[in-house]
Amino acid sequence: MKQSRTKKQLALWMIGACLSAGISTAWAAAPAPTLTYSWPTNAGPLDPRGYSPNQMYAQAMVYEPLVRYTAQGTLEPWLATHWTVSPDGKTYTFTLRDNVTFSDGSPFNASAAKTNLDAVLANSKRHQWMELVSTLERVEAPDEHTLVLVLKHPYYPTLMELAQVRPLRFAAPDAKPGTPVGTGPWVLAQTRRGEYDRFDRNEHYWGPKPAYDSVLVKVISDPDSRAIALQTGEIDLIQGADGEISPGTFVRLRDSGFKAAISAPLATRTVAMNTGLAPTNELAVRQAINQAVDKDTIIAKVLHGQEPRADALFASNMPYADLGLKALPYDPEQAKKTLEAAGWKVPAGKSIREKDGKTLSTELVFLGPSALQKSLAEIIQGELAKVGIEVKLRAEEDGALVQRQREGKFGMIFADTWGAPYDPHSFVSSMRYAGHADYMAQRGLPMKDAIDHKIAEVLGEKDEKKRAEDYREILTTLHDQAVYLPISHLTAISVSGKNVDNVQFGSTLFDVPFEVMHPTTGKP
Amino acid sequence: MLRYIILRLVLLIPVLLGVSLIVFVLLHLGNGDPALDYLRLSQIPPTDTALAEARHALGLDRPLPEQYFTWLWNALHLDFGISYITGRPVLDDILYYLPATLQLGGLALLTTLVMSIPLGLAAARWKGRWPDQVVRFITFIGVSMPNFWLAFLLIALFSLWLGWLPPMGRGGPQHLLMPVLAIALMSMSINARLLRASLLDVRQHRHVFYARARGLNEKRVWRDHILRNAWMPLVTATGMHIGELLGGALVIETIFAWPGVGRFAVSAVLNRDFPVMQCFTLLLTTLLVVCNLVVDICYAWLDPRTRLSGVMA
Repeated sequence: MKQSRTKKQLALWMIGACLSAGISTAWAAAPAPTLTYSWPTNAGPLDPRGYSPNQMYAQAMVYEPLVRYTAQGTLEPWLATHWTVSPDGKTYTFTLRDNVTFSDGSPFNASAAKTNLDAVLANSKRHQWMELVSTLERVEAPDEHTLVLVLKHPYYPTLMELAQVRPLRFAAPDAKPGTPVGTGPWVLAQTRRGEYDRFDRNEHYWGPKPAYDSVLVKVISDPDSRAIALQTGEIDLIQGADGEISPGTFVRLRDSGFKAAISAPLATRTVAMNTGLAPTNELAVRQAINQAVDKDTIIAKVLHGQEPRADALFASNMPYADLGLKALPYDPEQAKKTLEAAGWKVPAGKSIREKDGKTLSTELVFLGPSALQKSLAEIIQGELAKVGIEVKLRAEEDGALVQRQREGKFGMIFADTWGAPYDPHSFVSSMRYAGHADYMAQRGLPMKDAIDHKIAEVLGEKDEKKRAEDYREILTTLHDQAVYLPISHLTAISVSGKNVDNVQFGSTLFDVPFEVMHPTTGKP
Repeated sequence: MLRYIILRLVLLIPVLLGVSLIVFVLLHLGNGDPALDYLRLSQIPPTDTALAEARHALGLDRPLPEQYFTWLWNALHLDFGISYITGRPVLDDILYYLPATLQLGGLALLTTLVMSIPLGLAAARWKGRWPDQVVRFITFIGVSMPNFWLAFLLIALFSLWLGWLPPMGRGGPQHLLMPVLAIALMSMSINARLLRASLLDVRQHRHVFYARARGLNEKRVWRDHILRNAWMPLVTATGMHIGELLGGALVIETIFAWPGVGRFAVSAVLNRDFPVMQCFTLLLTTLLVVCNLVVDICYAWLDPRTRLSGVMA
């Protein structure tokens, strides 16, 4: 009797499993001209001037800039077709594109643009991290197609900052509060919290119409789950520069037949060394560290070849950074000689070098939850031990790591550059302020004041040639002083199924150009 | 009995107060700064001015006691503040995500009970024979395997290889099978083993012997004399499993992209979303206390000795 009941139960369970399997197959087979993508969180309310929880990839889909940053580090006309800069470098005059409307059909013109920029100025405290906001004196709209920006003082990165995703993009001034209405190729159509956001094509778009009717962005926070989603067809595309999947998973998916690509360098993965703290205050020690770490092996083994080797702080495709700077070649023997010459000797019976009774020991701070940084840190520790430098590893959480960067509580610390379009101008600009990893790392340099002075100069420099010279001087000095151990250049990765064609990368860390992608079958 | 229940519910108030204070202190003692997390998520370079502005906007620049008492006062009015990360009222978000988690946790609890009782019974009834061996093998695997690992194995089998079940998301019953099983297997295994051991123990008791001697049929002996006495430990264990099942949901929801409060809480922890963490802890505390109360009541109902001994009078 009992036995038969148990049997019945088992049978019921199995029938249930089979039934639901049938349902799931039917459910997975619905074809639609929709591109499915994933992101760790919902897109947010999409306020053009809002920060977290507004996701930048989504703001970039809906709102557009006056000028657009290209992958080559240059700017191209976008909502402005033409612009001029006054000889004193303080007045920027833009001619706006004709026949652009917002997704609700209302016109995009100079007065709409001015309303948006005035809203930023009215709330400038919130946006003052962007130098342009504190430099901007007023905005004028002399006629429907002309927009004038008047600055307090010359600031050459004005156009670069206008290209950024926020806060200087444009929403329809008369849109209902809380409804995101922009000029971009996509319109946020539906949000289900914790599940997905759906973007539909903007039928009023002034540029080429996207091939997909909509982009469905599912909320998936776990990188492994994201990979599984691609493999099972739940999503069509993985793309991003923020650890969307691990390098190992990237290789596995590529090898199992998915279309995979790596972008041009977007930022630099570096370790900053504290010049204000012994023993990294010695140039010889910093140079030896640069000579002792085998970046090529790290890239091959840990990063699975996914990131190109970095020889300098900025990749050569960044503006003003194509300087031909060469890294000190990997040569542990040379590293030992460098240390010997500086007086760091290995005492008999010991493996760590000493000088004047002090051991050659430093602390490397890394992001504890990041398996990648942990492996990198362990390899660096091993490499430096071979030349007689002791590295103590210290794991910190995200916020605590930034706090250490800000307070200069590190010997060595992972500190990536901010990436396009912040590199190099915003990044270099920040080097002047206490409370920044880079300021803290550089504060022990004898020429720190001169560097800071040069940075202030370059940001206001009107002459393009002089600007390039200033940058050469700043970046070469930092390079020669070996303040950084540049490891590799961060890239975005992209993995897609066979049903998506023309997958391209955005030109910054923050945008995904869905509008140029199209379905493989039935493409227009 | 009613007095006892009311007393237990009243005791919940100091428990919640204590928990809220401890969580608040621990959060603020910890390393890191929510304002930095906010700036990181906003892709704003953490300059001093940006940091000061963010601290001010999040109310973190006020003295700690003031922050706590303001929070407490608002919480008493069921206002748990605004999430640092989503920018929405915390309670609104948590209540939005809670039903999905209760669905998952509730089904996992049901599965635990429905599956563990027949398994335990079968193992005890045919001790040493093949049903026992099979159950012991399943439960051995079940107690040894971490739930996230089981989840990935299930996905590999049913989604990647066989393509039968969707690997993530919330929808029909097909979306529930794998996450529920992943959460429930461990509790189910523990319960089954516990029931088996308890049945085998009670079976040796003298009252069972006398029951048989009285000529009662085997079915009645098992139902009224063995099972009735043997499932007491199961009730206690189930009470403890509720916490485990909810904890399991935290991990499992992230893997299956399940839009529940667990995944929401995990991302809140990762981003130091203090208001969400505080509200979530209180919610969990309440749930656990209430569940334990229900277990105690069940216990009293099942075991007359507890009721009559005056412990609960």
